[in-house]
Amino acid sequence: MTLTTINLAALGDTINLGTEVTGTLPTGNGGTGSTATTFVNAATNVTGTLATTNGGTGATSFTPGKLLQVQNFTTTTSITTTSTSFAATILTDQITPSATSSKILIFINGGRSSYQTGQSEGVQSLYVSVGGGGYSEVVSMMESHVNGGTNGYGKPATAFNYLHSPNTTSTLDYKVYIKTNTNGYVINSNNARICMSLMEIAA
Amino acid sequence: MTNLEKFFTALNTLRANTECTVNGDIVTEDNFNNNIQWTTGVDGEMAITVPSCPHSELTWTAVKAEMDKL
Repeated sequence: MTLTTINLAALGDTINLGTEVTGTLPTGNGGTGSTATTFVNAATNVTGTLATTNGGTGATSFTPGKLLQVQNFTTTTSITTTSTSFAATILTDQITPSATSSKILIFINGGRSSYQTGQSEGVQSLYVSVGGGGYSEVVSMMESHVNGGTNGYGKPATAFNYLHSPNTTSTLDYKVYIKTNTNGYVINSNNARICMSLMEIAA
Repeated sequence: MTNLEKFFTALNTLRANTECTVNGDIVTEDNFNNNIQWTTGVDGEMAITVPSCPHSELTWTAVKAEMDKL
């Protein structure tokens, strides 16, 4: 015969759960099914590699991520020049690398080029100031011949990506400079949006 | 014709081949005084610019009058 219940009231006694109950409480009754009486403190006593078969990665260490920081600038302000030498624009953003070995991945995209008072051939170039010094050219970005759409030309957007190795931990101020061969050259007309994103990539 | 088109046309009328860089629109005297970098020379590939108009014939009054004709 199997004992299934104990009628304590009928026995007129009590059971001290702290000292007199042993054994395994089945999971079906809300227990764990475990007979263990001591447990591992995972916060302080677990080291080493958790096998992949147990849900771990099998790794004993991890390499930190490569993308360290992102800076972004965006504007819908129109930017127009009649300057025939490179003139600074408001399209600029700053980033301070955490290591000299870091690279800066630069994205400059969007906008809508156009012209003023006649078609023009414009040039965009990326400049940088290191640690508050003067600006110097990093790389020429693009040249575009803009007009009203005749002769096969149109009003292209800016599309530029570049990986820069500045070799410094000083603050870098990247700025787009523009010039025209004649008339007015516009790089962001009709409230178009142009963005500059700077990403520090670890070595 | 947009304000910027009027502005650059007026500039050409008053002083042809004036070199400047405009960030934003030119509608008010405040825009005229604050949104323009005027090219005054060249240093290598880079323009030498100043924030105040260095050309006596290009006052806001004169530019605005030309813009209003368009």
